[in-house]
Parts: sequence; C-alpha cells; structure tokens
Amino acid sequence: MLVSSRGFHAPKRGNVESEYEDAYFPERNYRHANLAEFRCAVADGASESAFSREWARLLVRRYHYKQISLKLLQRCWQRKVTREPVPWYLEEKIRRGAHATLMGLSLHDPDPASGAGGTWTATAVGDSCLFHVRDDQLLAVAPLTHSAQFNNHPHLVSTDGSRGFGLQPSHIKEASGHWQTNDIFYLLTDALAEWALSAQEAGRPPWSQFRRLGRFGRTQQAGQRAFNKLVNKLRLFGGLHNDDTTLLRIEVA
Amino acid sequence: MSYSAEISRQNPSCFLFLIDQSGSMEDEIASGSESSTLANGVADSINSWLQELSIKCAKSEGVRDYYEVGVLGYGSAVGPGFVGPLAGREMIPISEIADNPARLDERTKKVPDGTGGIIEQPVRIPVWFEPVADGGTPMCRAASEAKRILQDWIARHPDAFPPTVIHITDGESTDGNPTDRLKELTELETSDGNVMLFNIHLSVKDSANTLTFLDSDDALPDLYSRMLFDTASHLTPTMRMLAKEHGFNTGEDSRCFVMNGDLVLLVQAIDIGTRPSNSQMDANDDGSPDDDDEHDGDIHPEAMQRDDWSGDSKNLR
Repeated sequence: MLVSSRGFHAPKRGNVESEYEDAYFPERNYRHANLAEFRCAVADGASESAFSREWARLLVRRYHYKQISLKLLQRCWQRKVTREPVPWYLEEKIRRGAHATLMGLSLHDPDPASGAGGTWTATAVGDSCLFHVRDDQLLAVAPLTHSAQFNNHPHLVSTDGSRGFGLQPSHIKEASGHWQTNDIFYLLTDALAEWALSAQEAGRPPWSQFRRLGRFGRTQQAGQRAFNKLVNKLRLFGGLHNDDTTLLRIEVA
Repeated sequence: MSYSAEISRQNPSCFLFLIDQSGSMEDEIASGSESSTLANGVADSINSWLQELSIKCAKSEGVRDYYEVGVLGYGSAVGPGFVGPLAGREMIPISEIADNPARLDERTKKVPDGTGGIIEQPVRIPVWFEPVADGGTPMCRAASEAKRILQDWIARHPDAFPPTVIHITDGESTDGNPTDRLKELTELETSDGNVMLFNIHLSVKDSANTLTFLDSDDALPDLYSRMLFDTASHLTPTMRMLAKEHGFNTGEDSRCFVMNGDLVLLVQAIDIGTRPSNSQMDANDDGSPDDDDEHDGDIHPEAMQRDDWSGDSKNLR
C-alpha cells in the first residue's frame, strides 16, 4: 500500500505554540509506497498535569515504532522530567504524574503489490477519535460514536506504573475494519472529534472540508495555514471548543 | 449569566482571606494526639490551600497566573498576613506566591514504589503564613481594608470571575457592628457577578452545635451569629454541587456560612468556596483511576479485552 500522512494542529486560543499539549506521529508529511504495515497515533496530554506534552509525544512516537511498553515509556518520561532540578511545586506535580488520551491506528496490507486493500485495527484510551471515510461518506468512527458522549473525564493513560497506568482493561477500546484504495482516515483529538460528530449528526458532514486540507502538492506550511484558518472560523462561528486541536489525515492508495 | 467567566491568564480571578488573629485564636484544640491552637490550625489550612493552588496552576514552564491571592489578618493590627519575601503585599499573583514561600520544611512522604512496596520520599512543604493570636477583633477595620483592596482589584479586572472572600473568625467584633461594611463587600461586582463572601466561624468548645450552610437564621442563638449569616453570600449552584460532594444538603437559599465549625469543616468550606467549576484549568480532568485494578504495562491491542464495538459496524447517518 501507498500511505500519505499529514498532520495539522492548533494550540488552544490564548496559548502559545510551546503550550500545545496534543501530539501526533508521523509529525511531518509522510509518503511511502510498498508498505505491509503502517502505524500512526494522536494523543491529548491532560491540561492539569505538567509535562503531559512530553508524555503524549512519547506515546505517539512509540506507538508508531511499535514499542509501546508503558513501563519503558514511564522510565523515559521520568528521566526526561527529572534531568534538571525543579522547584518544589514541580516536584509534587511530577510525583502526581502526567496523563494523556491515545488513539493509535494500524493499517495492514497482506499483499502490498496487489492494490486490493487490507485491514485496519485501532486502539484507543479516552476521547481522541478515529474516522474512516470513503468518497466523503463516514464508514466507521471509534471509540466514541456520538457527540453527546464527550465529557471532561475521559479515560487517560498515566505515567503512574504503581497504579496500573490509570488503566483497567475496559478503558482500552479496539476497533477494526477493511480499507480500500483511496480511503481516508482522520485521527482527531476531542474538540475537533466532537465537532465533526455534531456536524455529521446535523447532516453537514465535514469530510470534503477536511479532504481539501491534504490536497496533493500543498506544502506542509500551506496546509497548516489552511487548518489554522478553518479552526479559527470554527471556534468563532462553528461551536468548536477552545482547546488544543489536532487532525492527522491518512490516505491509503 | 453570572459566575461563568472563563478564568485564564488574560482574565484571572482572585481570593482574599480575611483572618481573625485576635488573642482568642490561641484557644487549644485537640487534633489527633497533639494539642494545637485555632491559629495554628488556620495557618496550616491556608498554607496547604496555597500549596495545592500553586501545584494546580503549575505547568512545566512554571506556575500560570490564573489567580491572585491576598491574606489580610486582623488582631492587634490590620494588614497583609504573608511572611517572608511577600510580607506587606496585598494581592499577589499565584506564580509569585509559589516562587516565594517564607521557608520550605523538609518532611518525608510514603509513596508506592511500583512493585507493591512503600518507600519514603523527601518532600518540601512551603510555608507562607504563620499563626498569630494577639489583641482584639477589629472586624470593621478589616472589612474596610478588604473593600479597598477588592475595589482596586476589580478596577484592574472589570470582567473577571468575581473575587471570593473567605472570612475566618472565632469571636465578636471589638470595633463596632461590621454588618454594613461586610455587606458592602458583596455589593462590589465585576461584569460577571458580585463578590462572594464566606463567613466561617470556628469554635473549640461548641463543636456539638455546628451549623452549616443554613437557609434561614431561625436556629441562630444571637445577634452576632445572625450578622454573620445575613452578610454571607448565597451559595452558587456550583458551590451547592461541591457542598453535596462533601455530604452537605443545601437549598436554594443556603448561605456561605458556618457556625461553630472545626478545622475539618474549615477545609471543606474553603474547598467549596474556592473551587469554581468553570476554570479553564478544569477542562481536562486528570482524575486518578477509579480503582486499583492494575495494568501490566503493555498496550498491544491483542492483549486487551475486546469491547463490544467494531469499526465496520458503526455507521452514522
């Protein structure tokens, strides 16, 4: 299979770029042919914890590289955040850990040369969502399926190994399906996922709008500018919550 | 709608503690095996509260100024109550408070070691406010000072989530009837609503007669307690929800008022008064796990329990 991936993001209005706490991987425009497997992820670092951006970035990167042992990741995070001496309040904040949602998508192609399509599996903790779209029609959405299901208490993967990383088996949701050539997958963090579901429910599906963001030939910067414009418009007039906002768009061919 | 402004660094809110430091605050209370005084208990509660607020506002780059906090003491004198580098300051951004405690006490804390055992870790506990118990109870002057401080703050933050005043006392005013002056505090307003006033009366002797969040003054024994009831704000719907979390039943007319409270009730009342639900910091709760069911640390899909949905079956129309 041939996979193109493009990520777009916008920090919460009022925050600066370095305060953006979502994460996605691959971060840069990505285009590879003859793949038997492709893995990508988005994560949303909880705003109440410190260093949740670092935790979210570790989760998505390691998901991509298939190295998602939380014990190992927790040690990486700990090393990262305790490298320098910190003030008393960060000592305590680090003790309390960092937390993030995670949505990982894995595409499989049993016969990369045939172009006949393949399967996908997704693993999620929390309210970052996957949308599977074909010809601007929504085929599948996971793990939440209705805009009313979003709240301020999503399940989160935590850095606290002594408490099972904040996870129970039931917090980890899976989905799977089949993809065909030209299908598009969107991985969205909660604000945009909720908005997209509301739009779909209201009979105004956003897929053609999203598709144009990743138009072939557009540079990363031009695509990002178009995304910023869209997010600003939706925050002002479309009911999009003011939150860190992320869209990772995957196209298979 | 009132009390709905978003609390942000561009539009912070504030808390003002009004602390009775009169001689009677030296009354001894039994707390566990050690004996302590009301003044000690109040100082500990305020230090812990400041510690918690600092931690709540802390991010990797430092503490974000979602709030300003003032502590005004009244006893032999009326004035700002912080000690150390912040002495003499009235309203202080939470980042400056976090970075400038008077001292950091070293203690140890027991924490899980990740393999089922417990280890002791050194922790640093900040102190900003020391117990004081000396002189009379000049509540009128304290209320006037509070008004001046809040008027000034509101002039600088006209659209803020309204200031909250936590007034902690154990005795009667010794410089006149403070009713009008306390009422004037709750007449101050931002475009988002009036100043909230919590009157928390503490007692070491009369804890059997504790009265919380009353909706009428029928049960109150004297003019003094009625004055504290009358001048206290009504609980907002959010505060009533928090009160319920703490196990208190309240009605629409319930007041931000505690009579003959102990230190446990003090901490609960401060929490109810100071945890506004619409803070932008609460947008993504990092709540701890609901139980201790442990996870093995791997997140491979095949290792996980399947839930009852699958990608192919969810079509939205």
